[in-house]
Amino acid sequence: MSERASVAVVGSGPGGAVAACVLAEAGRDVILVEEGPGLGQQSCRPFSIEEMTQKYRHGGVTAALGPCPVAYVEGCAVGGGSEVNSALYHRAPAARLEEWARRFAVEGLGEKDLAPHFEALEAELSVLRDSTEVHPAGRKLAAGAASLGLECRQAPRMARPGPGPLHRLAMSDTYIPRALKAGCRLLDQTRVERLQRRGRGWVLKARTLGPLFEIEADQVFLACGAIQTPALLRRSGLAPRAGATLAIHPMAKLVAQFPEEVNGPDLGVAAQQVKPPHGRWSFGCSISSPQNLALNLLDYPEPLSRLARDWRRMASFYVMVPGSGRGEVGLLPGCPDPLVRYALSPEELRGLDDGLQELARLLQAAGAERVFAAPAAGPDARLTTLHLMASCPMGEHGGLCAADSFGRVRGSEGLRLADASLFCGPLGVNPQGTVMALSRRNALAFLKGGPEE
Amino acid sequence: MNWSSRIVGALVESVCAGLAAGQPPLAAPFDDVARFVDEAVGRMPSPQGLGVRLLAIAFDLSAFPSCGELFHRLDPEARAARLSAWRQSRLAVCRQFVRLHESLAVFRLYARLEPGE
Repeated sequence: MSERASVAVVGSGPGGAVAACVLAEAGRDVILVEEGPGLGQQSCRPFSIEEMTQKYRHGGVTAALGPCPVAYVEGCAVGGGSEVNSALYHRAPAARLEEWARRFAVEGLGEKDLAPHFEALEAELSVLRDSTEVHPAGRKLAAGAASLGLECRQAPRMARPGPGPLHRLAMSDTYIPRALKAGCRLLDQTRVERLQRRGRGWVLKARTLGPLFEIEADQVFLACGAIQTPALLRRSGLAPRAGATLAIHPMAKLVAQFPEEVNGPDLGVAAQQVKPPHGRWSFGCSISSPQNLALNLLDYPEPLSRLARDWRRMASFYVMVPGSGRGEVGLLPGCPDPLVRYALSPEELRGLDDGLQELARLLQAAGAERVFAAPAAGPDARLTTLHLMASCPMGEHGGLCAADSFGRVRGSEGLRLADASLFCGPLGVNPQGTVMALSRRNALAFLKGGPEE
Repeated sequence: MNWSSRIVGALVESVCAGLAAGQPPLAAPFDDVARFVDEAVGRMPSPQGLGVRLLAIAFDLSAFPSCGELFHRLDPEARAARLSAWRQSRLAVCRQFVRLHESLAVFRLYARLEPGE
């Protein structure tokens, strides 16, 4: 068995789906390769145990090792992370783009350069900015913020309003069907083991529940995410510095118990967020299903033992810091999976600790009877992250950047990146919108450059 | 059932019994929880997954010098004491081993409160 396409896109998350759609709609012969299965959003309840086993890489049990281990998750299904997240959408902060452009000599990355891409995405995705639906936990966050003189905003979402709860829009609802309609072929449950140069093109050594087979392509866009993209490059002997600069947004969580009900089945996750002007941390609402509450209450046996009775009066909240530590994606001989390490900076640890105290104060001001915070420092800390990025930064600074300003991998003609690995550091906000905008920008730059690109 | 699954089963039973969750739907049996934890460990990335399996064997064997039996063959009280010893160990890796299994067990157990479970 073998496949051949003009362009192979590896990974079907927000980066890969947008690239595949742009290229297919421009008439290119595109094949989209995804390691996970094509299930769609209706295959299981959002944030359930089934979702973990069906759509998360390694069942969601993954951690960056270090003095304080940080649990992280990656989507592994057609649509990637968009199938399992809360569909939040932010534009990249202008100040962050300017900083990246300056430090990494990135061309065409100003706010004005990306604005047309964000505008196009927002029109195509019907990004909701002001939904009337407010989750009870989101109301609590807003009330607490108001009493502390802080502003609470509802984060924009890729979602379709309806009579019931919002229907979040994932790549399997949006760019992937469009790409397929334009002639893109989809290979799901297919893992690309390594890439090899052949003539002027590439061969992807891939596996679909069986022996290796080959996918030949003139051009390759890698969009496997900030962990798997550098791992694939390293397995293929390409870009030796790939993976050396992983960044994250570390998070710590707490559970607040209120006198009245703030939780229930199928409520989803509130999109309210509080970002104090000092920028040291931000607050938001977290998944509050009984099992997630239990996880966040592991250090508190008494409320845990009463969870069956009290869970509807409880909700989980997070504090997230911008990220200033340094991580690495490495490979061990004989191990197919990457080894991820992350060392939190003292600034991150202080931010998480101070932020948790401030969040507790905020929720008490909103009427919380009790607040239970997990440890945020030391080897027993319970930290997580949902945002992984910057493992193969873009730019013209050859010593720092694995790819050029438009995602072309240095020293590997015809190989491009189209995911959060391209970021030059932590973004400070949910990265999904920026991943899609960069992917669209890079795919259009490729098309503009012509077939010899 | 292989050795590794037996260790995980005994560990999970001990964790769940210690949660004072004796009322339905959180009461024993915990076979579904043990199966979930065993499968979750089996799905872990290769470097960590191998490490966790090796630690499980070390955990099982560590009971022998003081109890004369492997952990998974101990009675519930002795198992709880061994679990507590590792939970409070000076070695972070031992504490994290227990933490991982507690987290997975609690996650699956309390998922029983979800509608449709």
